[in-house]
Amino acid sequence: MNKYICSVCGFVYDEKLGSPDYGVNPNTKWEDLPNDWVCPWCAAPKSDFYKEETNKKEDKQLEVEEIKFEGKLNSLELSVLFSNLSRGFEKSYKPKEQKLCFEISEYYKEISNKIDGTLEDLLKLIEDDLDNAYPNAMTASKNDRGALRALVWSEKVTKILKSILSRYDEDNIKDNDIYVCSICGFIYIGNDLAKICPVCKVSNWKFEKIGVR
Amino acid sequence: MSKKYAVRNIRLCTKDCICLYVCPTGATDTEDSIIDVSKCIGCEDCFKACPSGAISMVPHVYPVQQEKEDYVINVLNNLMRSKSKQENIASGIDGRLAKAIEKSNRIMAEDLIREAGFLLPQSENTIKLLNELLKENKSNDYLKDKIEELLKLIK
Repeated sequence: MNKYICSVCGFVYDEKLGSPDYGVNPNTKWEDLPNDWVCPWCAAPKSDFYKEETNKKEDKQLEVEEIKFEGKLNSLELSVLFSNLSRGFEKSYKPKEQKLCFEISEYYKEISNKIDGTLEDLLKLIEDDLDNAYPNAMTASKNDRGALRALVWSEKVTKILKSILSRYDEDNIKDNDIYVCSICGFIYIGNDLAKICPVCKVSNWKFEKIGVR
Repeated sequence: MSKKYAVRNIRLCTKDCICLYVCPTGATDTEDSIIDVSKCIGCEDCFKACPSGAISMVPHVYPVQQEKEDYVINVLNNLMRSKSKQENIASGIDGRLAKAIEKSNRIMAEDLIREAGFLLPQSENTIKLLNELLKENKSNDYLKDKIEELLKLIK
């Protein structure tokens, strides 16, 4: 006996249970449901249902466990690593270590190879993150709450970046302020900043106002 | 040596009150507002008395970092790489919007690499990486000096 799930609303058709409330007897096979049968919740046709694969998720987990990180960290990635360490030392009240990591971070940023590109190029990378990288990363990290936390925040911020890049250019935001949340990277464009960050919920004094470059 | 010592958040401290009275060793009374680690005995009196919540007790030695699965580290690092690339591209584009996107990507990349094994700056992972970088940069005086100094401080 199998289960079939409505891809629109999530209704589960269980062959064993049937759907007595809607006139389908228990032990009715999916194939025996009439072709014009529709989802009792949302009226989606049979073709919008997919079969529940009991071991499908585990297979996917195995696949994502094979994903590799190629090569070593490049200069800008090392800069990211050291600016992160600098923040960590700041939080643990180690000002000397904080300063050294900041200097190393700046050094690596300075020597990194610049990549030319446009806002459209950014949008493509963002879409690839959202379509592929995040779903894989979420599956791989399902038992790691810390990793999931970072992924949930940055996925939300990435969605916001996508929305911003699809709507705005420099001209139509010239009368607005731009802020970046220094904790999660959320970007706010407007003149009425909320009290807390909508993504990570930090108080808004952690937001940084962006001035002209 | 006590296991923990007191530190002061200068942003929250009002610099004029009770930790100065309760500290048995005078560790809190310094001209730069940083509590003197060499004098602090970890008694927590200032921490319990502070009306501004400006004092924390931090350990001299941090616990061992939580282990991460390799495949979790890989997916996090791949996303970090993408964010870092986006930071790079945005840094070459004019305007406030690009500047905000550059910054946003740096913050996301930092958070991702933090979860990919660099949560504690004084962790084994960091020490291992610093030693590798030291080996690779023997002839780079600037980096060599900074990394050696950092290693000395962490150990």
